Amino acid sequence: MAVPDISLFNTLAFGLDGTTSSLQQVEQNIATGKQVNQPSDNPLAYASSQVLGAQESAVSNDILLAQQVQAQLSTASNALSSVTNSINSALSIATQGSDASINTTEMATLGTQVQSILQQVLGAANSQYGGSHLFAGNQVQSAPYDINGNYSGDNGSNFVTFSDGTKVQTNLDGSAIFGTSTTGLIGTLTALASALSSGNKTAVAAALPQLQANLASIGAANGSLGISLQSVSTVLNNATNQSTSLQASISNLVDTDVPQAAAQEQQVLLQQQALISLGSSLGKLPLINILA
Amino acid sequence: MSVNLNSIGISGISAAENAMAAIESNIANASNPNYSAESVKLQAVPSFNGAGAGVQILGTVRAEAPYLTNQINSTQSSTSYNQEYSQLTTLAQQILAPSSGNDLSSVMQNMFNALTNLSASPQDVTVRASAIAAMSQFAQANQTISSGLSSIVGNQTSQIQSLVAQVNQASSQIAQLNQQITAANASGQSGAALEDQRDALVNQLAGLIGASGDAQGNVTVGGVPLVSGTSALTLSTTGSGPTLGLEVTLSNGSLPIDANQIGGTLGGLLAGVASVQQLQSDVNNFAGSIASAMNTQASSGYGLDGSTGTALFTVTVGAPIGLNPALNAQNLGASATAGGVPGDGSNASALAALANNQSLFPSIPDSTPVQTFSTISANFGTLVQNATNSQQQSAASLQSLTQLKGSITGVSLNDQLTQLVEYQNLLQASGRAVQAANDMMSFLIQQLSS
Repeated sequence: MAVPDISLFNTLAFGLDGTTSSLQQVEQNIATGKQVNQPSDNPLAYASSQVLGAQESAVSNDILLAQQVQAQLSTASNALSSVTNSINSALSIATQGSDASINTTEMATLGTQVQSILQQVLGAANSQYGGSHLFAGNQVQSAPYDINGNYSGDNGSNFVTFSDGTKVQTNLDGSAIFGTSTTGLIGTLTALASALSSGNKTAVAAALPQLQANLASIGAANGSLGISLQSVSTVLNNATNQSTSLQASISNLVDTDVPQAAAQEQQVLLQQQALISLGSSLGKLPLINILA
Repeated sequence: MSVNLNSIGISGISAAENAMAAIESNIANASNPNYSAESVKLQAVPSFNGAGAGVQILGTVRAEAPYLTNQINSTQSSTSYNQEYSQLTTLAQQILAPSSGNDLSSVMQNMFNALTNLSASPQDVTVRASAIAAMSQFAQANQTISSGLSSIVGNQTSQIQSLVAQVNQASSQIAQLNQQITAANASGQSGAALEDQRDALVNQLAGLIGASGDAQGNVTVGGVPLVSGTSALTLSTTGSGPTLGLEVTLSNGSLPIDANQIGGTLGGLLAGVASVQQLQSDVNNFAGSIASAMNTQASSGYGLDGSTGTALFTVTVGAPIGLNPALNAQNLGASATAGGVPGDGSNASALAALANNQSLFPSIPDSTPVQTFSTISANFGTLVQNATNSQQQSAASLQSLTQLKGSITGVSLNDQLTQLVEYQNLLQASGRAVQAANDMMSFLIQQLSS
């Protein structure tokens, strides 16, 4: 079969075009660090990386959100812990106030102390995080308690749902935890302060079991917060691990295997050098040289 | 007898000279890809006594490979088709999946993240503004893709007229060549060079529109004639947008060309435009479905200002979505409680939960929005990948077929040089024969005169 000279050069050019194109692709993969830069590079891998990328984005957002919720719930928990201390102080005062040996002047002094404790409890009940009142139900923009213990919040609740489906309550109904001027802890402290001021030892004694019940109630509320905090902590840990795992999965799908790409580059370069070497010998047509 | 010897030798000289002229022409055209090697067709001159009366030249013929020529034209059509389709869809793919990584999918996920954050802090005006900004970015990303794809369609469609003009020009040239070839053949002249030109033009038409030609120079596309003998028919566009097509004007009306039969660059361009328009429709429908679902959910929400029913997006079928210009941080319906309780983010939570809704897209069932968009991306990526692979395969086939045809019709310098030596020898030998005849004649004259 005769081989036209133009075919030899065309074949060489075609081969060089092929190796140049392969080289360009390999070098792009190495330079960008990615072997899947666009859907057509590997449609399935691209689609999977898109889905995993969205999951990773949601999980990363969970981490930031969980940290925020964790800080918010910790603030609420700290407030309840301070209230527990306040109740213990009130219990001590009530015990003293109910003692038969104490006189009315001393009881009035104790009443002033209870008033102070009441204000501390009200301060804790008006705790904020990021400008949001934690014990106001959904009326988070204004303080739920006034100085007299009147509650202006509501019994609404708000939940944060993380991407793994975990739901955590963030807003708490203050009236259910602290009561109002006539009920619950605030009602008990208000009544105790009044009883001490008026020297009513019977009423003071009656406040003792109520304070014990209030202590248990606050403890239960703080325990619920602890469970929520534990859930958030679990979300945070899982999300951190999941983020790392998802990033690794995405990397496996789209990132360049550098050693493999480098070996491929060497192979293509060798092929190209061979073609160039062949091209230089194409100019030396033997018959022309013989006839010359 | 000596007269016969002279004429036999002269016929050999003439044959050698003509053959060497053909070889020189072949060598001169060795780098011309459209040239078919020519050769002189010789025939022995019959004599009365059976001893031979020399050689006669029947004409100059070119090497031909009609089957391979048709195969090359067909493969040229596929190569040009896939090249154009691949280039066009690759451009569209760059808009669908920008190298920055901020594609519609990631912008959409950012929006759902912002809504999740809003559900945690519904009273926070900054968080509300961030959620609106994320929704705006989602709408803008849809608009950017849609306008980018529209731009591609517009630019490519404007090229169609230019390609149609090229087709008509080539058809006219072929019709003229058909006339010249017929005239050359009738006058006994060689039409080889003209046939080479015609083959090149038919190949050009194969690359432009997927045309094929026959031995008489008639050219058709999908059975519709472009060149019939010495007449070229006019190709023109018909319709616009999704109905854009091609037709040929006949004496008694026009004949449309089946879109599936159009190959070459024009076929690839028309198919590419159709695929890009389909992608644009898919993306707009996708974003529209998300926006509609979000508007439905938002309609039952309440803003901080107590208002309700404020839509998040403007949705028009077949067009990209837009952010509702009336939407603001106060009327964004994050709350599910009438009156707009500030700490209630349950409606924002319901909006964020749409990220996991698997029934928003009936055409792609059981898929979340991100999964649906990834399917759209993957399907389009497969189109581009197939076109690129097909283009590479058909280019390799074209190279192989061209090489094969070249082995029949191309010029091998080694062959030509060998033949040149052969005909040089023939020339010298014929010259010697004439000289021998002359010498013999001179000897006879000398003998007779002495």
